Amino acid sequence: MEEKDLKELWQRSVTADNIRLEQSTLLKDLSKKLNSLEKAVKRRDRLEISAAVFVAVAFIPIAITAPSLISMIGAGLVIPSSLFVIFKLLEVKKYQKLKGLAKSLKEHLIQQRDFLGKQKALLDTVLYWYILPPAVGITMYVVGLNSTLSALIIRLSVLLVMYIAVYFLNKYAVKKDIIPLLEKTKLAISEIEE
Amino acid sequence: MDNNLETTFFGALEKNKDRIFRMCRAYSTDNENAKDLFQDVVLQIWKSLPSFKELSTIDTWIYRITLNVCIRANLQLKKREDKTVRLDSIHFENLESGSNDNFEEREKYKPLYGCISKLSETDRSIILLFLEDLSYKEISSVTGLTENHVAVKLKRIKKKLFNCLNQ
Repeated sequence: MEEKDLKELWQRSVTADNIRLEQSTLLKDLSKKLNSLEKAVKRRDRLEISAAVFVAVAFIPIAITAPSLISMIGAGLVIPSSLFVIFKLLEVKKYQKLKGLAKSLKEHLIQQRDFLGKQKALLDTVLYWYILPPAVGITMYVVGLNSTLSALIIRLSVLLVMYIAVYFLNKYAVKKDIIPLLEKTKLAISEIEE
Repeated sequence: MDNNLETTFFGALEKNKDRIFRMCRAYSTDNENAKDLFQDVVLQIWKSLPSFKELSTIDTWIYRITLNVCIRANLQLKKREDKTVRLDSIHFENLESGSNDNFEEREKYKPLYGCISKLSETDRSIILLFLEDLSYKEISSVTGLTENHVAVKLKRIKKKLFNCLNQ
């Protein structure tokens, strides 16, 4: 088969007659779909941020009414650490918005690799920005509660299990979702460059 | 809504719809999958159109979006189900038979699509642009490779494709 025949065969495999666009309703359909997708993204963003805001706000009265100085400092520390979580989440979202589908294939793949790299770095360091800062504050708050030793041990154990669970869930997400995608993207880049 | 934008959108879409669908099909497991991908491409074209700056032709720009959407979907295949776009105003007709009902002709498409699907994601994108009759310059603009690089890669990919088709 000649190249010309191959091109003709390919172009005959699907023709314009196979696809019909209803122009009168397509734009309405597209706008509706775009709106619903944007609403879903905004809803998810708002949920993540409002959860962190809720924690920050909730800890203001807790800090004020804390039974001891150590609890007061602990609860006080939770507030800036929650705000720091919001800052980190917004930072990644800002980077995500830069993704453009109209870039060349190579540029798009490189952008996707960089974005996934950022996501991986964020989840790899979750211990330092998501777990440890509030954990220190909450642990101090619990220690300062003047509770019995057994109650203190139970509370701290529950907290420890929670911190470990959050840490390993993030590790799992990196291993299951981010790394395979990152490897595939890197492979595609090396293939296009070779 | 801007009338110029609408005119540009429909003009470009009508002109390129079959090309877009062929590319989507080359990145899909079946026609249903290709239909979803096609609709996603149409949505992304409409969404990105206000930022089209005429630095390239609109056709080249559309190929970029199409390939990026197809490759992105392929890389994230498991998540595609959640993002499926359904647009009732796009109708697909007689896709199984292609442009005619000739059985022999139809049977020829299968190995072609089969051999294309065996290529890597990026090799596939380059051969698809070649099969759509784009010049090296246009392929270079869509992929971001130099024209020389495109020529070298195409030679290699065509050899792979012909070897597969002749088996």
